[in-house]
Amino acid sequence: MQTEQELEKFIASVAQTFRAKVPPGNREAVWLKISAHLREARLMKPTEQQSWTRWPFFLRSAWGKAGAVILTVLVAISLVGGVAKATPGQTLYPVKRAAERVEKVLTPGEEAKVKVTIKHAKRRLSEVQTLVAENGQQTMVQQTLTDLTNTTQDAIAASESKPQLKNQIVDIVTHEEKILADVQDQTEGEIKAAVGKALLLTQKSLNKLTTEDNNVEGASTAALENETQSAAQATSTAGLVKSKTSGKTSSKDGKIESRLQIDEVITIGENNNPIPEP
Amino acid sequence: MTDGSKKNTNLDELVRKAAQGQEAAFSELYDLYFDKIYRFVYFRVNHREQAQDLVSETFIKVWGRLRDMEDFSSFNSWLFQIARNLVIDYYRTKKIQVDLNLLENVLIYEDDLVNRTDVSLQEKIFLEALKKLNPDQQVVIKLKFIEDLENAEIAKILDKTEGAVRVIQHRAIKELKNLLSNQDAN
Repeated sequence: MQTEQELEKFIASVAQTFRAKVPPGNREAVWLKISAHLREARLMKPTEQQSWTRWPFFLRSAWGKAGAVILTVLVAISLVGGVAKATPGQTLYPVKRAAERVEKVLTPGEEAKVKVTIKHAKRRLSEVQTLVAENGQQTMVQQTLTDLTNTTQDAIAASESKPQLKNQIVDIVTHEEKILADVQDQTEGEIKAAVGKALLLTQKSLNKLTTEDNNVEGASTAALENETQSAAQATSTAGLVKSKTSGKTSSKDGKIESRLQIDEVITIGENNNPIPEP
Repeated sequence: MTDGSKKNTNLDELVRKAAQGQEAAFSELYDLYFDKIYRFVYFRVNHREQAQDLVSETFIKVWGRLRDMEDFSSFNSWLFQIARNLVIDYYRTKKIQVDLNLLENVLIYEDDLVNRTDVSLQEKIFLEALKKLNPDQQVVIKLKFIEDLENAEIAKILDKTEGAVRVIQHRAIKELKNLLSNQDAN
């Protein structure tokens, strides 16, 4: 076996041996079950009268519905163009924030609301970056950091009963940590201190998210203890992964555990391939 | 448009239609993914009927959540994550203590295969060499080659980035090459 390509071909052929041992699944029988469920779901679909009972009371009347349509259009218009790009201190910024509040109210379903909250947290983060880059006023930066923190905590709290959103929450908090660390390096004085506080809170949230035992249906959890002082400065394209982590997964009743150990320094080149260690 | 990107666009379109409630599109998605999902589940529960039940639950759950999906391009990885979580729930309800790492590393036939007489000597040597890799490397090789999953799907299952999966695979192949070369030399 001379080259890695030849080895990969060999592995693929061995893999075929394994796959051949799997007894074939009954595709049609499984689909019959699924389509029976789809049929039931269609028959059980709530009537228009019933479906409206899920909406807030003020939306149940015709006037309420018309008002909701107008508000939705206003929200849609206000979230594009100049309003969408408005940052704290600009004239249109209060319109943007008001539109976000309306958007959240009009969004049906708890899961969708959490996703909207995550979206708003991303916007606050972007606003912090913009304010720092443009040397924004200290009070505005601090207020935006507070809004960011509050929005993120809202998303985390609301997602506790929605394990399917956990990865998205972890992603946004991880991203937040990275951005705040970068911003902290670019700032001084009281703004730096304020960013540092927000960063600390983000790191605590991230630790809690990744170490907390969850026993929610349909979810598995992974716990990571980051031993580095600052956030792991990992990039997916080029850079050096400096973190050293060890992992533990467990459920509340202690019945499922795993240990993952990763302690490698990986240098990834510009073409996204690892650079061999000397 | 390349074949790859055309295929992705067709898949995104299918997912979009299924998310809009079109059962015909959902049925096409089922046809596309049944084999992979069934094999994925079967390797972890080692029981045909149970695997079929879990596959049907997976697709039923997917149908229920499709309309909330925002990024259709991550459908594959999302589908596998749902299947994986259902397997974990299956073990929970059976009150079986399972090491999650083992669950990822499971390959029911592995030990049995090493002792089978119809497995070639080279294949046995490969299986022995595979066991010498670290757990992450073993899992990635198995998911990639034996279960025929894409890097994005593997990343989602293992809760890692695609970049990390590529690095692990690269190192695993390199390590296997060294192990098998040493074996040849001996």
